[in-house]
Amino acid sequence: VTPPGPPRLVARLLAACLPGGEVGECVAGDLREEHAALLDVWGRRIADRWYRRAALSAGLWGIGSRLRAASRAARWPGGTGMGSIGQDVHLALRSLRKQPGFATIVVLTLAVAIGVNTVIFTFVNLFVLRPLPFERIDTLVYLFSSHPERANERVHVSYADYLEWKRDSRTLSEISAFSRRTANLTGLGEPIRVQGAPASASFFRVSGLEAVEGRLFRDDEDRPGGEPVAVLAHGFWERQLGGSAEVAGREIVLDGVVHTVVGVLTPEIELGNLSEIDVWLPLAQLGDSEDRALRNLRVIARLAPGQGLEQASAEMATIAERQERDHPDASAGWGIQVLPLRTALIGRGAYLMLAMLGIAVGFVVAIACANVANLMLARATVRERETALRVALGAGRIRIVRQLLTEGALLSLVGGGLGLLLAEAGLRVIAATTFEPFYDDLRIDHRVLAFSAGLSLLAPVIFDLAPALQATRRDLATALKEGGGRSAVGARGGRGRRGLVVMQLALALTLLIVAGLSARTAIYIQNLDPGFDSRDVVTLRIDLPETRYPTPERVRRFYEGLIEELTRSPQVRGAALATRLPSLESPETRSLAVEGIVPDERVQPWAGENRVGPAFFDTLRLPIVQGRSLRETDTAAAEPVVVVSEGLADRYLAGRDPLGARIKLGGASSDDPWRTIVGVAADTVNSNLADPPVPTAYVPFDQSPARAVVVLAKSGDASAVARIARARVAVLDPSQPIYDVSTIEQIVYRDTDGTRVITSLFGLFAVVAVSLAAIGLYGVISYAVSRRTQEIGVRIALGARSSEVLSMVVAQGAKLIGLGLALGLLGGYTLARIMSSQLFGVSPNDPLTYACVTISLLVAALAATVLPARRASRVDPIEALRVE
Amino acid sequence: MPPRTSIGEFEQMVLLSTLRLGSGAFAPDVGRLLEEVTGRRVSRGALYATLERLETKGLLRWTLHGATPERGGHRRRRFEVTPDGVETLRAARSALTALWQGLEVLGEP
Repeated sequence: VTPPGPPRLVARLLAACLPGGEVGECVAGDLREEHAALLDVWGRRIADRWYRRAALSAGLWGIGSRLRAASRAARWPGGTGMGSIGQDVHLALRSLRKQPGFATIVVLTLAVAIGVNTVIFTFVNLFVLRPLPFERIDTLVYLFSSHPERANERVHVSYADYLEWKRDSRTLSEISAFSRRTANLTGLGEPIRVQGAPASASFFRVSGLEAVEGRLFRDDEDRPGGEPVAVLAHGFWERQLGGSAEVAGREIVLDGVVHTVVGVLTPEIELGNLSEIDVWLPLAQLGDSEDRALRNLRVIARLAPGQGLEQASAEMATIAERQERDHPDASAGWGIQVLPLRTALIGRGAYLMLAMLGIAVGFVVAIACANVANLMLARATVRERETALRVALGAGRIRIVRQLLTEGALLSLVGGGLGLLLAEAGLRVIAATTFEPFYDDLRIDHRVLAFSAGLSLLAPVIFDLAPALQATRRDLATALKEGGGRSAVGARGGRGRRGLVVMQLALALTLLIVAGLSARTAIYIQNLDPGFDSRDVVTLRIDLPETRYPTPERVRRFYEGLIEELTRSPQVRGAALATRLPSLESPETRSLAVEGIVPDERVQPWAGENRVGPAFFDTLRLPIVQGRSLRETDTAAAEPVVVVSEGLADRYLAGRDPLGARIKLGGASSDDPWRTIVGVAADTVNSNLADPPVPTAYVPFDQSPARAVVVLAKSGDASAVARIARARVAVLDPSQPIYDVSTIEQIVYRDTDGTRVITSLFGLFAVVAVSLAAIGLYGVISYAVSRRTQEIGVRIALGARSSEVLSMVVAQGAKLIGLGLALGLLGGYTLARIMSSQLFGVSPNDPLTYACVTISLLVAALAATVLPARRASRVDPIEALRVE
Repeated sequence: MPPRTSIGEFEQMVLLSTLRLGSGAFAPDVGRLLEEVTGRRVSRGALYATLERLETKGLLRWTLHGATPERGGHRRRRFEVTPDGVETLRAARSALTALWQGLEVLGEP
């Protein structure tokens, strides 16, 4: 729902520009009133457009009015009696109004630069600067399990490990853990699927989070067999219970078990994917697993007073070594990683990408500032005589510098305001085209506003001070004697400008290369062959509560009925069960024993387990490369069998015939049976693209049924599949929800959000950079042409052909272009090497990408050169000689 | 009495609109009237700048009036031409009239 009233950001900016007191209040009210009137008659779009325009002009007036008032109150240093700030502003406005083209280009350039900067700063703000809701965050650490074979992952922690660390650690004053699990909530209308988070009672103490209603868990509730209690997330409480005050003591039914609500947690925690959590539950009541290979806990701890990260890491390393000795089956090779919480929450890839985006934005800003500086330099040269005259008439140097700086400040303030609006629009686009709730958190807050304002004020100092000082340092006599714009300064400034253009071209090409490589990566990921046929595969999820489905037999019966119904339907060309979506979900990893092989001390074999129905391989068209697929006859009563992935066979059964070999999941001492390998399936791509395919064991679902499954159905009609499944589930168990209905293609699209956003940002920056660099080149060449008009006129008068003039000017541009491109290739190569860990399916020195982007920049640059060159070649000698 | 202040065309138009609107001379109404009469868009920045200037010259003054909900709770200013303002307008008109003497034929369509 759009709020009534004008666009809020514009209104806020306007209020900041208007004078204080009654006048400002009344003007703001006037525009609002007019907006409301237009809204009634013409609708939002027209009214908003009118408002933006009116606010811009009224805001400019407001700034001027405030400055005039300020200058009446206090005299500005360095001036004579007439030197007030108001006068500076007045003069600046008049001088800019005389050159609307110049002012427009400068303002737009700055708006683009400040706009992209603001967008990136909102990312930095969200990731790095925004305060997290945890008390004394620098003493909080995140603990991960780590394994050399899974170096790119931060693996969560098993419950048994967590208990041991909690018992043995001295450097950590308190350790807490939480995990994620979904549950069926009944008793509040339709059965729904809620996101639960089992958390230790210590979690709230460690994080310093408090209840806004009732209380949080007590230690006696966080133990096996404790009272079933629940703490509601703030958002869930508002959505589902209307935020009613009498929530403590209410009962909710989760997976058939009555839980007493004891309180509501503060909304501060609802950041990123933590905002998905609906209900917090006591961890110890659910975390009953003794399986050390089941690593699913997020462990957060607080350093004991006087202890640092190093002491904690050293202590955890000792504990890890002991665990390797105590539990060789599950813990061999596993270490413990201790990271500061803030670092852990962001992730290494994100840091790198932020840094890359930061560099990209820096380039865009450098190019933009170079453009503005170029324009200013050119203008300073043209105005040399005016300046010299004013100095001769007694104007102080400070007075003149001040005047030029005022012009710059005016331009950049307007540019900054426009840039903010651009940034706001950009963030809306990002939020609208992505799925992750994370992107909705990108907002322009006071920190972002302060950043952009600072940038706008800093910009004129950077691009304006040098030309301003230069303009006053001149020898008056020479300046006054010479014709405007053909002086020594002109020549010096010319060299400077050409240098700037070379830099602009180099930076633009660097950006283009990075953008090109990330686009190639994005295309590669989008078209990646996962190893199976993902077209027309509909997925939906069901999670049966243990309370109502206590035995494998009941689980089996439920799913058998559902799959039969789906398979019978004419809209479905095959349906199967699995516990994991291949390639898209990280696997459920388990340690592995292979018959006849004594595991090496350091390298514990492991595999991802996927329990699948017999139709799994057919439905996904996942090829069986050796042996047979799973069959209907692989029932609980039959011999335990397994199909393994090629990767598993290669890694652990190299040199042997995998068929007939036996493996055991969970390690040699687990309760799982020895399973005979009856087939080998092709590998599927790892969800973490940097890693090799996961060695996978496909266990027949009937021999090891799971309550939580994903149903896969080959069908072009997702809604039909959902309808059939819902109808059937309603018959089998009316209190059972199904959830997450979507196609694999949709899931892939959602999963690649981040890549798409980054790639589009790089692409956008590259386009902006190329346009700005082309404008810069155009400016320099056409300025050079205009200064040489007389000379060219003489040449033509003496018989030079226009084609000769053309090639002379183009050659001048070509030198700059050649130098810029060479430097750009070097820069691009360097950056591409740095970001190579984020590139997939394309090498950092991919010749095709380099060639394409170089050619496109070359074309743009040549176009920018040829336009003024053609004008030069058409110079009329008589006109040219008459100029002076 | 000769006018102490000279005023530009837009300033004259703003003063005349204010007079014409009488007790309804709030800034948005002045803006709309000017837009209707001239058939062109009137920049709000220029309008407020002119109102401010006329006030500084002592040709215009304003009084505060209550807020309405569509104004977001902001109050409003009603403008009024001062006796000096009326005097200046008269002087401007007579100067123009004097210059137009004998040139009326050019003024006809």
